[in-house]
Amino acid sequence: MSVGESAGPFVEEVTPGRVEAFAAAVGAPRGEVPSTYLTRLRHGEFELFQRLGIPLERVLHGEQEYEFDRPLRAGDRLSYSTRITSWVRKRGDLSILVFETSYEDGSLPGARVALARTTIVVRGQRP
Amino acid sequence: MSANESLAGRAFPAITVETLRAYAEASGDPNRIHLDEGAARAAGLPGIIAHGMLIAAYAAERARDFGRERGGLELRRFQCRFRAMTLLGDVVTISGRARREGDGGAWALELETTNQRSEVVMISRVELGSRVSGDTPR
Repeated sequence: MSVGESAGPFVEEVTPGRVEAFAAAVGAPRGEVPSTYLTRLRHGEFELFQRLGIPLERVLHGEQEYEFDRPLRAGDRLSYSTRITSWVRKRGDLSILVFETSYEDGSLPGARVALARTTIVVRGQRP
Repeated sequence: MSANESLAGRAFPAITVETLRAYAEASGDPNRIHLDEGAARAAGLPGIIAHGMLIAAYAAERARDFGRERGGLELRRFQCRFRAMTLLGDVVTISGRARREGDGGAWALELETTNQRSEVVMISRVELGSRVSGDTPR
């Protein structure tokens, strides 16, 4: 099946420019990294959608969860991998997928910065 | 000081195409259902819908404001569940409750994001805590 399938590792830098653009886009003040900034770092999820043949237009965001070990900072280099931890089919035309992503400090291997759990609803999709 | 507070509703500017374009670029989300009316309808949606995570960002910022007002509390945990889609022109309002947790300066916020049709579009829970001393990984 697809549970356990994973993608990564990916690396992305939290640059001041990206932080500023994100803060402006969500109406957050300058000078700190907005709490939902990690939504930028979802290449693992996108790769898994592609690999499983799930078109983005059929995807709806169901739930999102973030746990922070420390706040993100401009200058952080984050390394992350994403794994599918659950896949449940409902009613025959809806699937619920859960992705888990662990973000680590690229300059301190093994030092987790945050954990993300994304619940996605896929509409009209058959396996 | 109160251990349980009600948070007055705070409304956000109506969602426009520009809002979504800026957010799509800043968040790296290529999904056309947030940018193109034709793509949205072809996907079976009523029209362009806002990114769920933009609506989540508004709630996270509301929680961060609460934390700033109380001496710079940090966001430890954020959870949200999307209940309804947000369309162009929608105005979302965030309200809820804040409750002290334990005795170490932590707070838990239960927030509700509603639109101008009085529909709940998202519910969220945010845990805030005091600044962690140093950067010791846990």
